[in-house]
Amino acid sequence: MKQILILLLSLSFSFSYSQLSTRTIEVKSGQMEKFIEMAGKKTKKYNNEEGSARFWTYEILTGSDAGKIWRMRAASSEYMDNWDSNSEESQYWMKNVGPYIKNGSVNGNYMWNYVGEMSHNVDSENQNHVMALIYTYKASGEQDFWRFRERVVAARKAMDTAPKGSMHSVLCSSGCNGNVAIILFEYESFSDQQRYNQEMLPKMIEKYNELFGNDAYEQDGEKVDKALVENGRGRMHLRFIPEASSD
Amino acid sequence: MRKLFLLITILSFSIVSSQVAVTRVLDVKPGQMEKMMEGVAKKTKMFNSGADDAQWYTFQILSGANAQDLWRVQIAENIAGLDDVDTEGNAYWQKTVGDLHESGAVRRWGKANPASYTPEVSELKPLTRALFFNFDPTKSDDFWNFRVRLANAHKEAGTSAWMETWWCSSGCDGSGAVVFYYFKDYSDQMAANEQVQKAIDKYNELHGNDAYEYDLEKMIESLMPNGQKIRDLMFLPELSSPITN
Repeated sequence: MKQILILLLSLSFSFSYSQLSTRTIEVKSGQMEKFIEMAGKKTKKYNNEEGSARFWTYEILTGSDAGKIWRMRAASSEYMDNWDSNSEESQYWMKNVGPYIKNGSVNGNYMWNYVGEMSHNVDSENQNHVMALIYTYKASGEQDFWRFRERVVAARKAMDTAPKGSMHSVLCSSGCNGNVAIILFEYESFSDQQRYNQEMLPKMIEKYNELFGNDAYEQDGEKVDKALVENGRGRMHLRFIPEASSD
Repeated sequence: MRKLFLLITILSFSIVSSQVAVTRVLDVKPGQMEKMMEGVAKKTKMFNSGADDAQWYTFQILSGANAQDLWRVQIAENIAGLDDVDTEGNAYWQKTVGDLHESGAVRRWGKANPASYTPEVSELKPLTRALFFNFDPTKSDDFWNFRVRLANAHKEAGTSAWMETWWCSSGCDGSGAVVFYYFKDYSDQMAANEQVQKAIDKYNELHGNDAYEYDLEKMIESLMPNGQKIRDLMFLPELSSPITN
């Protein structure tokens, strides 16, 4: 734990080996199906090979960006250094996908580090419904914030029946204001999420308290609340689009 | 240490010797980037290439809400260097690229030399990671203590990490500072982890076991809520004054 916290505290001063980046894309009205088809063709053609960048495509379902596309890229430093707007891959995107994007509506670019120690990967199948919890925490609240996340991972791993969907933690390394982390939970659907909350979540909390002491979940959760900046908690739902994503 | 903060306070009112900078974001209108870049390059070549001309440097913002926009920086050796108004150059700017962008807030910065470290640099390092901080003025000792000690640790360890710290002298809300790390490319940035570790080891050697972790935590506690933001930038030499060193 100590080492992980030092790492996290130092992240502003260290650099990840594989960089995730995200951007939001607004698709022209009525062109979503075509966009997905062409983005999918591009992704399957250029982004499945060893050494290539990998892309994951989501549709944003809630919030002010509902209806837009959220596209996440994982790329090595070598790939990023050699990126060329005139490459065959870039030109293919511009020519075949670009026409379905609203003019000037590829917004922002945010870079993220995947925090493996604070994530719980399971063999997810058909878990295309994603809830993203977006947190902005005070610099001084870093330890309290991540302690809770680490303990949730431990509790999930200790459950008799593992959750069907993974839980991924990413920490913004560049482009955000403040310390922003996103925790992505995978489910099959809204109803599956509801079922998880009714059946599995109480078991996870029970396991959490069993591992870390009576009421630890509640106490740690309160510390997280205090660790956040004002309005530092957001939530959005996403639909993962496998046909427009790397395999 | 107290002396340093007193010095910085005094500097807020009378910058006399350290380098100063003026920055602004240029929000380029959709579809106008190519034309904007051409115009900025031409203007800079015409009006900002001589040793006596105002020195302007241009970066492209790579992350955040302003990704793809430009960040224009004027650097002068001292505050007097900002007194001259380049009427002709400004008029040319307005005429050629004025309609292609919206200009953001103007901020002034002074270089905090004790919190900066420049190794021997033999090649261009255009990839820049900028850490913007907003700190509680009542805890500025903790903020600057860490920054100065870290720069010194890099120096004593002889690392190849190039790190510059500037403090906001005007135009910021609250007490602001920015730390720049310069890299050749992303591979070089990745390799910097090793240099950072060397500096941490030296830091603890100089100031005691766990001093780095302790001071870092104090620095973090000195920040305002939401008091840190990180941006990646790419230096564009063809849109900038010649680099002299």
